[in-house]
Amino acid sequence: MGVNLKMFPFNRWSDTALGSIFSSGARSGYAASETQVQQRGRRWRSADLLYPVWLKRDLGTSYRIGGVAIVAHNLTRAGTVRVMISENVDMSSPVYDSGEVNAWEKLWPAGEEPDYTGSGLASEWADSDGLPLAAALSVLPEPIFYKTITAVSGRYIELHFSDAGNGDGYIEVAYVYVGVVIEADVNYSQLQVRQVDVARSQEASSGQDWVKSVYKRTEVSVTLELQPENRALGFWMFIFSRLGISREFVVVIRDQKASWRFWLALYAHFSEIPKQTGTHFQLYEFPLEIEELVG
Amino acid sequence: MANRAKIFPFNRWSDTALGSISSSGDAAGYAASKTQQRQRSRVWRSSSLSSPSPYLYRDLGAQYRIGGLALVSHNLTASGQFRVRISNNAAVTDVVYDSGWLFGWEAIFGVDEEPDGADSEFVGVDGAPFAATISLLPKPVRRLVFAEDPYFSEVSGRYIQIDFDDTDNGDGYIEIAYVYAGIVVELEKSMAYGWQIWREEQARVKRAASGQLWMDSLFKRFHVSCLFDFQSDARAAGFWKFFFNHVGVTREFVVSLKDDTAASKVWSTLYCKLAQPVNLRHVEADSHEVTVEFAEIV
Repeated sequence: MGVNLKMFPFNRWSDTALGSIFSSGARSGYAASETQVQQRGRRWRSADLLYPVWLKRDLGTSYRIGGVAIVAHNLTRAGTVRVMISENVDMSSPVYDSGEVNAWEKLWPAGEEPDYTGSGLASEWADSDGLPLAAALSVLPEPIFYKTITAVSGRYIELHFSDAGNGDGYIEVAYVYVGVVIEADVNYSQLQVRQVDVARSQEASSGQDWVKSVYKRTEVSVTLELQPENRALGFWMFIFSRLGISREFVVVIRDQKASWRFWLALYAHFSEIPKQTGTHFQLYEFPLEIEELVG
Repeated sequence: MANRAKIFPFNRWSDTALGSISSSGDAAGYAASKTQQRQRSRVWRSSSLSSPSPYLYRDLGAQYRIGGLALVSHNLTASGQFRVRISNNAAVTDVVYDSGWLFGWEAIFGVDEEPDGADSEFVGVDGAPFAATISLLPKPVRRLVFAEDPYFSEVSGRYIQIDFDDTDNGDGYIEIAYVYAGIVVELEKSMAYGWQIWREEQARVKRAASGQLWMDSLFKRFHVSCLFDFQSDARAAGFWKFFFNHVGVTREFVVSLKDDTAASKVWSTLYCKLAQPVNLRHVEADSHEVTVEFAEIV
C-alpha cells in the first residue's frame, strides 16, 4: 500500500519556553495561551467576530515549519482560515501565506462519492456541494484544519479567522500545532479504524434497557513496515522517546483520499508504547496504537 | 566485530572489596566512591574543572583482566574529553592501555547515516545531539571496548586513571554516576531479527467525565527485548549461566547490543539490569537460545 502517514510530532507553538502568544482578543477564561495546553477542553475564544480575528505566535527565534494544524475549531462551513508565517513581526514579506481558505473541505470530492449519491437523493451527511451537514459534525472526529507545506524557516505565525455568521458569536480553537511534518516513507499495513463509544446503560426490572452515549473517540491501529534504519533511529526513535504515551500530537493518515481526511486526521496520543522491531538487515517495523483526545 | 552484542558483566571498579579509589578532588557529598554504587542519582562531582585537573583513580589492589570501560551518566559537553590509562605502576607512567583523549559524546549519525532532512530537530549537521535531544536518548554511556582499538586488546592491569578535560562545562564540575572496568564479552551471534527496542513510560492519566484525557509523564526508561540463538554449549555454560547467576534481576551491568551504525550504538548501549529471570533453552546439539529483556536503570 502506498505512502501516506503524516506526523506532526514536535510542536513549537505549544512550547511555552519560546517567545510569546497574542490574539485579537479573548473572552474571560479563554486566553490565547489555552491553545498551547494539551487538554482538549481548554480553549481560546475570541472576544468577537469582527474581522480580522487572529492568533499570533512569536517563537522568539526562527524554527523549521512544515505544517500547521488547528484542532477542534468551531468554524462553520462558511468560515475561512488564513495562515501566514514571516520572519518579521509586522508579517511583511511572509515566507508562507495560505491566503483565505475554507476551514471545511468537502467530504466527498468529485469521484469519491459513495454509491448512493448516484440516486440523486440528498445525503444524510453532506450537502450537494459535498460539505458536511451539521449532523455530520458530531459523527466525525474532532475537526482539524491542517496545512502541510514545503518547510520554511519562520519566527512569527499569524492565523486569521473569518466567520462573521458564526452562531456562537466567537471563534474557538482548542489547540494549535506549528512545526515540522514528517511523512512516513514506506508501507503501512493492518490499518484499523474504530470509534469507541463509552455509554451509560440503564435497565429496568422489566428487562427494558436504554442507553446513552457518554463520549466517543476514534482509535487507529496501524503498523509501519520496512522503515530503513536511518529513518527508524534518526526519526522514529526520537519521536517515540519524546512523545511516550503522555504527549499529544497530530497525525494524518491516507490524506491522498479526501474522503478519508475527516476520519484519519486526529489530535491524539499513543495509547501504547510503540516497540521498534528489527525485522531484516537495517529494517524495522512498529505498530502504532493511536487514541484520539476528545473533550 | 561490529554488530555483535557486547556485555560488560563483571565490574572490578565497583567491587569495594578491592583496593581503593580516589580523585583529583570531590565536591562535598559527591565522593569518588559514588561511582561504585548502582544508584544513578549517587554521583561523583569533581571539585573543579581545571585546578586541579579532574581525574578518577582506581587501585584494584591486584591485576585483573580489563577488556573495556564505561562511563555512565556523565555530564560532559559536546567538546568535553576524557582519557583512560591503565598501568601496573601506581604513578601510571608505564601504561598497558592508553585511550588517548576522546570526546565524551560520539556523533549520533556517521557519514552517510543521516536520516532524510539533515537539518533535524534532534541533531546538528555534525551528527551531535542538541542539548534538548539528550533527554530523549538513553542516559549517556560512553563505552570503550579495547578489542576495537587497533593498538590494544584486553589487558591485565591494576591501576586505572580517567582524566577529564571540559573546562567550559557550565555545571562547573565533572559528574560521573557509575564506572565499569572489567572484561567485555562479545557474543557469538548478533541479536536475532525480531529484537525490539522501546521507551517505556509511566504516566499519570487523568480523565474527565466527558472523556477528555490529559497526562503527566512520571518517568521513562528504555527496554530492549531480544533473542540470542545458536549459542554454543561452551558459551552457554561458560558465560551465560555465570552471567545470569551473577546479575540475577538486581545487579547492574552495561550492554552494547548493536554498534554497526553510530545511531544504533547510541540507542542500544544501556546501563541496565535484567527485567526478568532468563532461561537458557537447549534447542539442539551444541545450540542454545536465550531470550533476554534489558531494562535501563534511570
